Amino acid sequence: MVLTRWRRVTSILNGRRLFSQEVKKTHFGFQEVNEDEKESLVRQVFKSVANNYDTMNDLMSVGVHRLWKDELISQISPSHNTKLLDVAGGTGDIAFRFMESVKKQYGSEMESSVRIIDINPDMLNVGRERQKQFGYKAIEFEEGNAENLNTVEDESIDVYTIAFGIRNCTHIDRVISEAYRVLKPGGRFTCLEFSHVENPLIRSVYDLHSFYAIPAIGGLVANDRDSYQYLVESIRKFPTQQNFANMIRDAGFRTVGDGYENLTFGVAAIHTGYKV
Amino acid sequence: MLALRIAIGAGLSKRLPYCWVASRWNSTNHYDIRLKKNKFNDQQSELQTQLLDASLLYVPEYGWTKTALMNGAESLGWTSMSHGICKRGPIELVEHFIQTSTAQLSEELKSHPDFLDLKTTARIKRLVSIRLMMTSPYIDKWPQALSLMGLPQNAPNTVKQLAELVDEIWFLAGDQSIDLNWYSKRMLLAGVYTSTELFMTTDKSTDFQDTFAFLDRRLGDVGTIGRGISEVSNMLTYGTSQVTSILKSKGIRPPF
Repeated sequence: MVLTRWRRVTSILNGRRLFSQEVKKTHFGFQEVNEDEKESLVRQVFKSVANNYDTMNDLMSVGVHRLWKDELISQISPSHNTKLLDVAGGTGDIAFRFMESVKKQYGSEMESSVRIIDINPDMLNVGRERQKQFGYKAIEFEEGNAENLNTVEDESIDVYTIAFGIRNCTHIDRVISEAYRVLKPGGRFTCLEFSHVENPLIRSVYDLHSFYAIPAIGGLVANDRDSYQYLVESIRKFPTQQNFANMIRDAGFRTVGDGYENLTFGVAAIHTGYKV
Repeated sequence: MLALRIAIGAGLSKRLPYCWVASRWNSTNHYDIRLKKNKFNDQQSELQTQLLDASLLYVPEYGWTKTALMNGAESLGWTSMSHGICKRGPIELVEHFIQTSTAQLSEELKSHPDFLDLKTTARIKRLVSIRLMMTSPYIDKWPQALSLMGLPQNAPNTVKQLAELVDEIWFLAGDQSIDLNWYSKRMLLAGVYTSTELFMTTDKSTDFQDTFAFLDRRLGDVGTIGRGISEVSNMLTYGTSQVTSILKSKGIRPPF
């Protein structure tokens, strides 16, 4: 009996701080967690998926993620002296495609460069290994937090991209404001992220795939069903295309048209804003 | 719309003083009204217009390319990567140029006070010349623009813009037709205009004299064809009405 009363007390103490307001909660997939816990939980998720990240991407999206990333780079259309900041770009997919595009146009890397900032050192290590294979020199890997880019100066970046990373951040508005700070005038903010499917028929197929197939594949291939369950749930919790476009405008960016483009019926979407 | 067109066309007679007609043009600028309503144009935001206007200055040097857009962006104080504002790329430069040129035609006419004294063919010639001179700064790079316009994803817009151009020219020339001639006039002018512009890309004479001579010859041809077409249409109308009356006399009432 003493034990149950103690459990009750600790559960109350965990939920609230004495003599102050309730701790802010946020979503971690479909669960609710404290805001300050979310970052470390996300870090753990990506630590466990880091090694199989690319393989799992191919399996889950049946290779379509490559097309999405190619479309992202072709929309950005880099030139010979573009500075790209790729946030949450740990394994370097966007960065390598960026450099490849520059090389194809101009024959060499020219003066373009990429800085990759990721919160997770394991993902960065995977990226560094791949860089050795590709041989691009102008890519730097750094550990850092998207909500507080203290190593990046104001107005020093031409293009800011965040691909499949922003839904894992605790405070999306802070990420967008940091992006606004580091971009040069006229700079481009582009976010490639999973989004909401409007068409009900396709959505039902997509939901089946998300909630049944993906965690099962995660369990079989990567031996980590829970992380992939989190990944799928976090997609559902992300704001809709229009709401996210409004958040981008609220930070001061200006958008062209709707501010976003759907890919694959809304399974993914590219949101773009310009600092003008 | 038709009544409005007739009313405005009627105002373009020789009897009215030029300034009154010009103010009429200003207040009910046919093309301005359409510019606002045109769905194609609604999609061009203020940002895009800003960038495109700045980039047109770089077209004579860099052509209708992404480089021109990047230089335009830099001239506005933006990083060159903001060329992505024009999502479809250099074709947007071409389309913007054509659109603004067509819209400027009525403005340009203000510096031609003798316009109302001219007959229809001469008015058409004057308007086409004004429009061709707008292309002249870019004429070296114009073949590149034509190839962009010919791409299948851009061709529908090209056709639409050409249609708007010939319509504007005929409107400003005082076209009051309310029958099938409306269509034949515009189709013929489209042919004249595109062939003259194409000729202009290879013209190296001073002040494009050869181009204007070419234009004269084309307009001469068209005059003959135009009369021929209206004669054919008269003949067909007469023939149809004869057949209808014969049928009626037999007790058969055709549905038309």
